Amino acid sequence: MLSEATVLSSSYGHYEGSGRSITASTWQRPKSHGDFLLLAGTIGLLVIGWIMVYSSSAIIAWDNYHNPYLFLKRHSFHLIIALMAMALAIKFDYLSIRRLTYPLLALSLLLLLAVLVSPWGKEAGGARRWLALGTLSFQPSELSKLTLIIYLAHSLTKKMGRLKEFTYGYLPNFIIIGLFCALILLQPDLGTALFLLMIGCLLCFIAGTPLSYLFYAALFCLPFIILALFKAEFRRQRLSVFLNPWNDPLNNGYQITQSFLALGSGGLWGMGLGQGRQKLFYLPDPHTDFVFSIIGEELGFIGVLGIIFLLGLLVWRGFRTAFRLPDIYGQLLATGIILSIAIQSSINLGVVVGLLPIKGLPFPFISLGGTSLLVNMVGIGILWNMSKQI
Amino acid sequence: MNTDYQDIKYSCQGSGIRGQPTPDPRRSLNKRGKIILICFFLWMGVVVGRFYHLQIIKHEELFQKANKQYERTYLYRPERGNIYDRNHRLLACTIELDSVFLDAAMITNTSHLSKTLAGILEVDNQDLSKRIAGGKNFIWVKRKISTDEAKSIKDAGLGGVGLIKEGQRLYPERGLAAQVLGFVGMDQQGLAGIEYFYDDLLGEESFWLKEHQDAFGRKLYLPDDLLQTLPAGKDIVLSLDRTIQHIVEKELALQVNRLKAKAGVAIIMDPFTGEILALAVQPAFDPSYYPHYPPEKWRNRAVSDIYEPGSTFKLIPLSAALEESLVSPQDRFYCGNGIANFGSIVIHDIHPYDWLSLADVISHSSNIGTIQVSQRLGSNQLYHYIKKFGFGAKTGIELPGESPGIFRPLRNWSKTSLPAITIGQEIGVTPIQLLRAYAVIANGGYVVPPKVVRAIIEPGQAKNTLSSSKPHKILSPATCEKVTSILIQAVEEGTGKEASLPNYTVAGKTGTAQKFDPATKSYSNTQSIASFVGFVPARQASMVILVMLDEPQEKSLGGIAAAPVFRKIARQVLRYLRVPPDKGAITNVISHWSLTNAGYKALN
Repeated sequence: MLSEATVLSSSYGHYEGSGRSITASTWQRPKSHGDFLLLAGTIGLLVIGWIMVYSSSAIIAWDNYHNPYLFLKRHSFHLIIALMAMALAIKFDYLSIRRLTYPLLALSLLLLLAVLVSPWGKEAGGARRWLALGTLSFQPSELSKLTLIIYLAHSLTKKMGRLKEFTYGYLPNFIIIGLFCALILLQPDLGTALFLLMIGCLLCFIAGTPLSYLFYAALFCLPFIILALFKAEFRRQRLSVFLNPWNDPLNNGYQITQSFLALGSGGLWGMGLGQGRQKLFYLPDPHTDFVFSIIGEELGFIGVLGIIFLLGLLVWRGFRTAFRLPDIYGQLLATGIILSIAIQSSINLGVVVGLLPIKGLPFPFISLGGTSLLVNMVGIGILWNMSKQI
Repeated sequence: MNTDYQDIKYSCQGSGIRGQPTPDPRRSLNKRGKIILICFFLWMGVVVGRFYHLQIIKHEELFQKANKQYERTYLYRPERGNIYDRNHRLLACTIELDSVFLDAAMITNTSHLSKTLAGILEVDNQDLSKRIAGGKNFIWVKRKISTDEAKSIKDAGLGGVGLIKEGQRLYPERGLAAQVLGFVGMDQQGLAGIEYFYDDLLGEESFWLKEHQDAFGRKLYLPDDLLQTLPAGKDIVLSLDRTIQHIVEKELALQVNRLKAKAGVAIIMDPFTGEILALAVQPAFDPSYYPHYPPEKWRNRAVSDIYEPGSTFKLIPLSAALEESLVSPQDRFYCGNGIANFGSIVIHDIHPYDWLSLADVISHSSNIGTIQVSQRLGSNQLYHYIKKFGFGAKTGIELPGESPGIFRPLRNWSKTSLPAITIGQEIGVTPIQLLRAYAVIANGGYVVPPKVVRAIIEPGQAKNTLSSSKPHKILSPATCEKVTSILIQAVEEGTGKEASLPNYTVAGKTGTAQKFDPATKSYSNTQSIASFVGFVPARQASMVILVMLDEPQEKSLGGIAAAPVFRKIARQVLRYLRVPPDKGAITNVISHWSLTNAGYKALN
């Protein structure tokens, strides 16, 4: 069996292309069923998320809709769809994704345009971020996170070695990144735009783009960011509040100080599951962007450490998969996917503890939000498929 | 697929960053990837440190801060306890009504506001505007408004107008037993009757309570264990029986109106336990609307009013002389044909008699004969027996404003005191004192403490029956038997004929006391107090009844004015309590033991 597996693995065409002599120990390992620790981290976060979405949303759901299970039901429905999508992605050889790069790019840009101009674009809370079809709604900016990663993985692989050529290896990629960012900024959604810029730059950096180019890009973007920051009054306030939230705990510092109160109330062991008080309308968005505050309040520092451990496990296994993949495209794609999860959670955690200015980014796998969950789960599915092919 | 490998091949052959040949792009990729992974874990370290700072180091400070917004103190008003009759039928309870107040700081348009409020609540527009301008922040507009008014206020949606719930005492039986129940003021404070006497039991003090609220200031449910330990007003079960009370009030009111009496009192007491079954006072009032009645109507005349008892008081010298064996029922007394001198005063009988037996002296209510009985006792013994019967001291009934009566100490007695007191003058008694004196005969010699409260029920606890002082014995059963026989004769042959019942033996005594007129400084011939006190069935008494009418205008004699009321009340109450008759054929069939039992069962 062992030798047969070895034979089978060596028969995979694309490994030969790497042109490297690969040590026997790597190659003789039978094709695994996938990285179970990667899956364990994901499932752990999903389970905690499922419980915490209910704990944090029941009161709001009851107050607004007289149905405490409303958000739990919605989350469960999203979860089922996302799990099915993940199962599909697991079966789908990651190398075939590359062929979908341009159709996906076109679709994502089209959907982002549709949000802004089509009648299906839905406005909520002063921003047009959703496409609504009947009762279903979809957030194209979430999809564009994955699309950009797939595109950059393809493009950077193709241009590998010529990345220092400004017009060939650098400019086209940044035009695409800029296009995505611009469309999302128009919604407006500064957080997601910055997130896309960040992941784009990091992928370019990993692929080998000279740091000076990235510095130029940052320099180029700076006026736009400053303009975006100071054009909208609320963003400027957010920034000043970030510097000292307790100066204005009733208006602009409200959400972050309430998050502090939630976390501080939790202490070491927490107030107990379901016993949190900040979700009684004190803390805005307790089931979406600030679900982690409620976790800190109800499950305490211990619970927080547990979740950060799961997240660390997931990120570590993701990167490990990326490092071990034999092809550059796979490596870039895997790195992009796991980076997306790592960055989103880093920003979310940074915001919750007041280390970053308030920006609405959900915590992957835990916060309520269908599109985000779907996209992240598809990403995990792709990683899982990759981990099977190491 | 082919292009993929081409790319990789190309990248492998090509040059690396800054033209330096790089042997393996994967190594460079991994190196940069690791930098980012390390950055991620460093950031996580910073985040965990921040969590530690917020959750562990600043835990106490932030927890207290969170408590501050979560908790709010408010004035908790425990609900006032209910009052029930002995069969747990509701006599007094509390409902919640809205009261309207203004928060002056929130008012924007005073004239519009006061006009609207005046229209809904029928308050004076000008007065309200003036009070708003007065500078106070909290202004009552109208307290305890109707639900319709409350709805109109809510619908109007006026800024600065608030509603709070306040308790409103309700007496579902209206004026029934009003003088016993009493009433409460605007702030639920007991002002009269049981409401006043047991105010601290019925109503708990308001206190500040910590309440939990959500971000919109909405009250959250209190934890169950806290709710259970909250003090609440205790319920009180009276010894009164609603039905008997109704019978007594109805009959008393009829007679008071018919005879145009100034006032009237009727009381029924269980002679063995001292429990008051009914206590009626005329004129009556409705405690729900007590301010509409003059304060003299609020008074419980049965315990607070003193009167000279007249002939009904002859019971005391009679019992004392028999107990001391100074007289026997067969002894005969010369009654001077209706007029006799005792020291410096001249005593008259209404009807002149010459020789009367002791029984006849009492049943015909001869003053002259009774005084002779008292003379055998002497002042000292008479004084002490009156004391033993409990006159001159409060009975201790659980009602406010009880009077001890007026009973002068022996050293202040004049030569005329003995004859005067014997016939119920020179002494002031309360109806409840006199009633208890007759209960002594009815129960075989015991002075019982009269009670109107049977039990106090604490929330969540079993019935707590009150302990009362032990009855003490002052007469022998033999004396009581002799006195009872004389009192039966007084009803059947003497002045109390109007009180007799066909199927029950009634023992009792009439009294007609002339009122002392302060203007003429002598006893009036026109103003009197007519009374009848008795018990039935005479030898197994289930009740002692006192009927007293103050200044009846039509018929002034106790035997004519008060005795019929006794009869009417006794007949109905005996039937209601299913007390078996003790006179006639069936008496022989049923033993006395079962009679008593039946009577008690009906009572309890």
